[in-house]
Amino acid sequence: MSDKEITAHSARGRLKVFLGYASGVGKSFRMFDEGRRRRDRGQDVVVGALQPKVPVEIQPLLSSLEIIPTFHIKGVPVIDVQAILQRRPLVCLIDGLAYDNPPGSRNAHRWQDVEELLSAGITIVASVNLQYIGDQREAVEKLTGKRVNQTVPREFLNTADEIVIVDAPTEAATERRSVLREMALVLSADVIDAGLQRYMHSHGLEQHLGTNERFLICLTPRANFERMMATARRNATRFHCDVLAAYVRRPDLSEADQKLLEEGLAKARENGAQVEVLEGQDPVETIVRYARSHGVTQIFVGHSVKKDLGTRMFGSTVSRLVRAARGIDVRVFPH
Amino acid sequence: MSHQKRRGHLKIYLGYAAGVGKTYQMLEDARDRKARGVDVVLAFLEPQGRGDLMERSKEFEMLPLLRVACRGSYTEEIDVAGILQRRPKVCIVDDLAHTNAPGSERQRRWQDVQALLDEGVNVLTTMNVQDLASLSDQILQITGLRVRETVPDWVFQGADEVVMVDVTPRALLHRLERGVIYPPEKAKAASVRLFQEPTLVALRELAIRQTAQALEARAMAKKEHAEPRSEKILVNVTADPSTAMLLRRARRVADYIHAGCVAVFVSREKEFSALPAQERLAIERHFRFAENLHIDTAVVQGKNRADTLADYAHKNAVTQIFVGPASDPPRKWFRGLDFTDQLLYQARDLDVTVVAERSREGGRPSLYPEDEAAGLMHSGYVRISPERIVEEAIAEIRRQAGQVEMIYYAYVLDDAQRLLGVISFRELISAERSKKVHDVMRTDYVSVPEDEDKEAVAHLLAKHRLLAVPVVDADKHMMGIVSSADLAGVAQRAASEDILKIGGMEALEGPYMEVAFAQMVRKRAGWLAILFLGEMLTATAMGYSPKKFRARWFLPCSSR
Repeated sequence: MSDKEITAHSARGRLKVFLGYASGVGKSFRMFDEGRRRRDRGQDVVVGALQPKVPVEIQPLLSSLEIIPTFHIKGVPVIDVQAILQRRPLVCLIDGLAYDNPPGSRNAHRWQDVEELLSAGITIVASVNLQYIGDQREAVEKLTGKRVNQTVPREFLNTADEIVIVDAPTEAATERRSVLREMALVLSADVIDAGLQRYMHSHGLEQHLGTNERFLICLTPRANFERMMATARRNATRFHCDVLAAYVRRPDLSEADQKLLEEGLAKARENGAQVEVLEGQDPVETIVRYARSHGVTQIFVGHSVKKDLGTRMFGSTVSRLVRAARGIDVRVFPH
Repeated sequence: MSHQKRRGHLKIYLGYAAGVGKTYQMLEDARDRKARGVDVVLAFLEPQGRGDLMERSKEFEMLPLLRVACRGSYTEEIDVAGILQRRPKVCIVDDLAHTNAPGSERQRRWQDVQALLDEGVNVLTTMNVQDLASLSDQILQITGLRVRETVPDWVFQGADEVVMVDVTPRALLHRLERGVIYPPEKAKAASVRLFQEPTLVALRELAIRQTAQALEARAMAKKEHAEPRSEKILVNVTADPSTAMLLRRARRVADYIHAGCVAVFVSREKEFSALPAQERLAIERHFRFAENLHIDTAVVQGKNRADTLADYAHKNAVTQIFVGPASDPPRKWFRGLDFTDQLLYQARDLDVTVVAERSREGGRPSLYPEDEAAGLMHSGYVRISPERIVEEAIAEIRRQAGQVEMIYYAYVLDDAQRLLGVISFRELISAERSKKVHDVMRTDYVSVPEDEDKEAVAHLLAKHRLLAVPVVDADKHMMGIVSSADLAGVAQRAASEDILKIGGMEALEGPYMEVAFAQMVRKRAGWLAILFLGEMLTATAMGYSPKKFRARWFLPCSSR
């Protein structure tokens, strides 16, 4: 059973990340403790990077572990990728993912060094703090006022096979701290979700497990796009989820409708939405297929409050969509 | 809201599977408190037989459990009155989702816990994310299993502190392999069923999101005094069983977007009591379910459902309407406006959300609230044709025996899947071999409608001394059976650990029967053992696999 791993590529090493959201919560300790336990189980473990100052409580853990020291260029510690590749351990521990290597190094960033080790099939156990994650930095900075320069891109974090939030006792939680904690929780849920999707894709499973919401806005010429977008954004913040937007190209649009659609598209893009343009004979079918393959849980669609003859006779496109979208909610916005 | 006493502090240790260490963590914290001189007592600990937990529990004063008489025997539940008399500062009550034995003062343990909190006792408790009522449909999607014992979301949200006890699925699987969670034979069964990495990964993701949501909700609650709720969701209640899912979904969305929520039924009749009994009962049941989830309810009278709903919505500051999927079949030509369309036009400036049925791999799952017959039923029974002769029928039962759960009765169905009669295996064996089944079957069988209450089904089974009862719709179409084992969810839950028993789908494989039975008699004795015997008779208890689960729903599900 353990062979069926949630890894996209089997030759690649596994990446396990200990995520902290405040300093002193003990993520380094947890990481080295795991290293020690793995060693006790007989795994070949080395330490590839230590923090500049090693806390006292970690020293006993280190005594049983082999260390491949970082070298320093202009006072900046750099992982000795060459040495680690030559040594070829099963597991390499990296305390601190977010370092920029000095100019002239093998890679510009430490996470790229790590990527290289992973590609070589070495399992990495690493620690990182929330504030160093690309898309979290600003929010943390707003909260704590501390600014950091180095970041680890979110895309890299998403490739983690396992993520562990290092949680401190909650008793003395300040409000700021619980906000940081919530951010860390949501971030790890998203990383887990990315892994789950990789697994589902690599196993040819289209089924979405509905662990996370995902909204799809259907763009149509007269739809009240701004309202849909505003609602989607607002709800997405609450649900901590993605918003997608798409429209189905129609050859039969009147000039006026075409113009409205262009305006809508322009506005959508101004709003930062990535609008996917879909091709298909039947707009309902096309949208539903797209929604399914992207794990959408809710489709947002506009609906005219005026009844035309076609609708009176055949029912609306929306009601067709509702019937076709089995398993997906349809939220209808009047316009 | 003005209690005279200070309400107790509720702390929940939230996990996503058995073995993540909820109980361990809880006892650890309790020990710290005790060391600081706090008066901590232990009211209940799930008896897993896990040595480390049992050892740790000895450090605490253990309060006696209450014996509850049940079907000629007794079982043990926590003694709320006793605890209140003892008046500890902190009380440990493991397993919040537990259902008390019939005859207890309160049906559910979370109600016991509420009673303790009301009296100012602080409570430490454990639950899994899959026990949350509003997550039921997502859990079904992930695991293929319907959770029966749930905790209403407001209870969870009312917790003063939620601690997520987390390990990675990988680490959990290691624990399982090392035999920390279950004895080896049981661990094997568990790994086949629920302890699959993707399933665990998905459940863990849900648990983490839920914890984040709990934190956010608390932060919002502080601000809320200044900021009134601006959104209000209306849920359209109908007799259709999908209403249960609709209510759960609305509850969830309302909690996330901090909206109010009201469940509305549109009655054609002026007097609610003038409605057909079946419809009335279904609505009442949905309303009970809604109230359980802390959703307000209302009945409004009106001829046209769409008009009436829209009217109510406009008058009551509703911003969003939740309706179920269209139940009327699409008409091909001149089909005009269906209910969805009508509502869209009437709702004008309101958003309408058509909530889809969540299911796994396209099968139609049970959408019923957990307390109805239809929510418990399954189709693991033997079916035979009336034209068969007895000898063939016996051979047929032998053939089907491996695939079904209940071989004590065979159900005689016509080609349209209508139930003609029932015959017990015993009767069949003693019947003349050359006779046709329809000559020997009983036609005066006992059956229940789909929306029969769980308790009523239990009474019926006891009264007629039956091991199972068929569930039929108004036209006698066979929908499934409910067996005594299905009703013994309580027993199943107690007899196994949490994740394995969600949906009451304990795997009763050979080794488990040998190992666990003696242990169980020792540990819980009483009615548990009796119910367990009942299960043994049914050959196997509910053992879902996704494939089997699909097969369960090939019968026509709704012909209303």
